[in-house]
Amino acid sequence: MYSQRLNICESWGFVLAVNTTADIENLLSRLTLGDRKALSQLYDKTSAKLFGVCLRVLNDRAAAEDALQDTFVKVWKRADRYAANGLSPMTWLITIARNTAIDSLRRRKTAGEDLSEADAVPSAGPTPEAAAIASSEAARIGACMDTLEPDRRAAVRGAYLEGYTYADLAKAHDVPLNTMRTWLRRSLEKLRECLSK
Amino acid sequence: MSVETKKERDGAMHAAEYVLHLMPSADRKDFEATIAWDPEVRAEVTFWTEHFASLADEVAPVTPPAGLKRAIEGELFADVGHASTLMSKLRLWQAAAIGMAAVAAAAAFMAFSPMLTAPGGGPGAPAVTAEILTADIAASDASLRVIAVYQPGIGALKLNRTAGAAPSQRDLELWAIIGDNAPVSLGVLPADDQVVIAVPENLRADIAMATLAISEEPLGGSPTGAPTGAVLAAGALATF
Repeated sequence: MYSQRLNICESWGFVLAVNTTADIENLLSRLTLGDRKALSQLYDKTSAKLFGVCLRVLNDRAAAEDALQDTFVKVWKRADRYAANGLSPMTWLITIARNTAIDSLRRRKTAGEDLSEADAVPSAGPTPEAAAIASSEAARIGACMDTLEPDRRAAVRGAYLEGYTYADLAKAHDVPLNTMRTWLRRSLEKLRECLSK
Repeated sequence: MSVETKKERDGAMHAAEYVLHLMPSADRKDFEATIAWDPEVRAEVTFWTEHFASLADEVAPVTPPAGLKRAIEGELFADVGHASTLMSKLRLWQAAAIGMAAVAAAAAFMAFSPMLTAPGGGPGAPAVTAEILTADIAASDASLRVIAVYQPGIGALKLNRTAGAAPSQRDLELWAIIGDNAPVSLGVLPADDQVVIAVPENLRADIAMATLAISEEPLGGSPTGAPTGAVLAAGALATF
């Protein structure tokens, strides 16, 4: 399965992305054998990106550090589940980091802390490195997101990148909750149609 | 796009809302059981997860503080119990399966000895795993694959076989391996693809640590109480 994926990627010509993908897959497969050095190398390669993802959701360094620690603990314990899930390795890692950060965010919010409006992490555009390894998938969701009206596009991005709930989004865009639900669902339907073309 | 039923479209939208974390947490738990159960829903979740993850391309990497790697290693490697991997458990079990009657009989004795089963599993009701657990019990060559979902509410495993069948004149038997204990039979799998199998009460407290495995056995199941045939597929239970 691994070599198959590799071949498909190579035929697309994303050499840099392939190297990264193959390296990370290799490290993940070594984790399942209990290889501690592989965890250390995986951390060196991916922790900055995953920390960025956690910070973006949590907007708080200490909380993001905790989330990143939990993320790598989960990656170590669940590495044997990676092979079966059909996701690319960075997607799997980003998803675990984001889910961990969102769980932490929701816990903090229910504990009474308010969502800070300040954007502690600059919402920069793609880094040169990220731009270089951007796959056709990324280009496609980008193009499909562009077909949405700007405020709806912002709502979808806010839900994914900052972990906003329907209630957060309704407040931020100053529309009733049900309107936001309708917006989001219609946007998602439109996105899916575009992505499935 | 081809004609799609309302159910399919709703499924796709739920998958997207799930991936975005827009579902209330109770619905989220229910939906996770559906994902584990239904390959089409799972494909939708994969579709959205992969596409949305590309949105993270714009997130700038930020170097975490220097001590964090050490903290992670400290947390993980002080805790030896969790470091045992599927592979090591499997090897143990295969050794048990290959081992002859004496080993098998001893294993069976241990598995069924009332003294050794369910530490803390007395009538006072032990702490039972409350989370839905799933396992992908798959052969390395994909010739047999069973998705298992453990539902703590009913103390049972729902199994969905997506590939493979018992060899001619043989039965498939499901086993739970918890820690270094001998495999405990959960029963012979019926021919149906979808079945519900109750987990014995004394295993429920520790079921989150179990690896599930399937062996091929004589008709009616292993005569010794321990696996005797080849190990065809295995997978660890874990929270989704």
